Amino acid sequence: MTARWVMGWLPAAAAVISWEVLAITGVLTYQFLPPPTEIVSTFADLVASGELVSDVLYTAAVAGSAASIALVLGGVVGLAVGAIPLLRMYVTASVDVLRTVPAVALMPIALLALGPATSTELILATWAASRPVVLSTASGVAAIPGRLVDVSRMLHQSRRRYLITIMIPAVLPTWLVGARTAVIIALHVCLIGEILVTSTGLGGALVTSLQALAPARLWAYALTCGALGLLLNITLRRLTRLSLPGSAHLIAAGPR
Amino acid sequence: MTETVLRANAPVYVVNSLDVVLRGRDGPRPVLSGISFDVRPGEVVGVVGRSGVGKTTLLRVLAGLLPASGGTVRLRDEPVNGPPDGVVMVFQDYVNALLPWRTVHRNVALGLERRVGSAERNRRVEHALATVGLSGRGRDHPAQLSGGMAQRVQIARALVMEPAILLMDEPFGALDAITKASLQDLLLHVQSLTGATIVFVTHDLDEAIYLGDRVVVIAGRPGAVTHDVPTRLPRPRDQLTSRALGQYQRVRVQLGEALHDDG
Repeated sequence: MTARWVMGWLPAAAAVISWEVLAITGVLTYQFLPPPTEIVSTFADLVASGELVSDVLYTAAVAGSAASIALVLGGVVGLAVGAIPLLRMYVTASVDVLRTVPAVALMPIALLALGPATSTELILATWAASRPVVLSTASGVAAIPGRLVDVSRMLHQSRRRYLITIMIPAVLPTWLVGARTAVIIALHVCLIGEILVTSTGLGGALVTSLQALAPARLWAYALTCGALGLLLNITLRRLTRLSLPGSAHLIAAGPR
Repeated sequence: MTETVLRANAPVYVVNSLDVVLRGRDGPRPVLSGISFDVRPGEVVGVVGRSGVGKTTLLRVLAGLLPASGGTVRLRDEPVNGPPDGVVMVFQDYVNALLPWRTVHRNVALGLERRVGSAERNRRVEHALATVGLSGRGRDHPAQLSGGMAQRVQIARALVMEPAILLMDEPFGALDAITKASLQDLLLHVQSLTGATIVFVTHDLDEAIYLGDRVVVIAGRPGAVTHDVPTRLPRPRDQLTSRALGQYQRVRVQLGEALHDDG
C-alpha cells in the first residue's frame, strides 16, 4: 500500500523537481513559467494576507450552496420524473434538448438578464449541477425491481411508507453518484462565472492575477482550484462510503 | 354445533370460472381460462404445470396483485380486489424481493413498522427468525446470506405477519436439492405450528406431492385446470419414508401422465 502510494507520486515529484532545476539553471527562460519554489512562496504570502482564504471560502460557499440546492431540487424532480410516467415523457424530452446547451454558453445571457451578481453565479451553477442529479435519480427510480412494488403491496404499505422505506433508500446510491458529478460541475461553473461575470472568488482572483501579469499568483490560484476540487471529491467519496457501506460497486462505477 | 363445524371447514378461497387476459406486446393474450377450484382452511395445495402455463399469474390473482378478467375469486366470501388482509406472498426471486440495504432483522420487520410497537415488533421478528432457523443472523445484510438463507428471510418476513394464508411462487425453485429438501421440511413444520393455509406453485411434481394435501394441474393455452388430485399421504411427512409409500407412487404416476399428456 505505502509502496504503491510512493510509486504513484514519484513521477509527479520528479516533474516538479526537474521543472525547478530547469527554471533555476535558466534552461527554461519562458517568463510566465515561474519555478515551483516561487509559486510556493507566493502561495504562502497569499495565505498570510488572508486573500486566498477569503477567495477560497467565497467560491466554496457559492459552489457548495449551488450543489446543495441542486441535490435537493434534482433529487425531488428525479424522484417525481422516475415515478410519474407522464412527467417522465415531458421532462426527459426537455432535459434532452437543454442538455445540449452548455451552462457556459448561457453565461453571457445570464449576465445580461440578471446582472453581475453572486446570485447569477449561484443560479447558473445550480442549473448546471441539477441535471446530473435529476438524470441519475430518475434512472435509479427506473431501476427499482418491480418485485419490490409487489412486496410493498403485499405488506399493505401506504404510498407514503413505500416512498420512505423502499423508493428513497433504493435510489440513494444513484443519487449520490449524481451528487459527485454535481459538486464538480458546480465548482467548474462557479469558476467560469467568476472569471466571466462576477470577478469575485478564485475565478476573479485568476483574472486579476492575469491582468497584473503575475504568473506565480496565477499558478498559486490555479493549483488551489485543483486542490479544492480534489478535496470536494474526496469528501463526497468518504460520505458515500460512510452512508452506503454495501454499495462499493456503485461508488467504483461513479465519476472520480 | 354442526353449523360451526361446517363453517370452520368452509373454503377460504373459492375460484369460479376465472379468466385472465394479459396485455402483451402483440395485443391481449388469454393466459388462464375457466379456472375453478376451492381451497379449504389449513389445506396445502400445490399448483403444478409446465412453465408459461399461467401458474404465477394464478397466484398473483389470488394475492390480489392482478385483477381477474372474468369469473370470480372470493376469499372468505369477499371478492378479492387488491391484496387481502391475512394473505402474504413469498416470491421466487429472493434477490429482488429483499431490501439489500436493510439488515435481515429490519427486512423481516418491514410489514410491522408503523403497526406494532417496537418491543412487540422485535419479539415477533426474533420469533419468526427462530422459526426459520436464522436466530443470530438478524444483523447480517441479505448479500451476506446464501440463497437458502435469503429465502428463509423472505419466509420469516411473511410469517411475522401471522398470515392465515401463505402464497408461494416457486419458493424453492432456485435452490439446490439439499437446501430445497430442508426448506420443504421447514415449511411443513411451520404449517403444522401455525395451521396456515398454503397455496404454492411449483414445476417440481415431487415437491407438489410431498408438500401438498392436493395437487392441481394446470395445462393448455390458455391454462385450465385439468386435474385436481388429493395426495392422501399421512402427516407428518418424511423425505424418505413418505416418498417410498405406494400411495405416493400412485399419485406420482397419475400426475406424471397428466403432465405428459399436456406435452
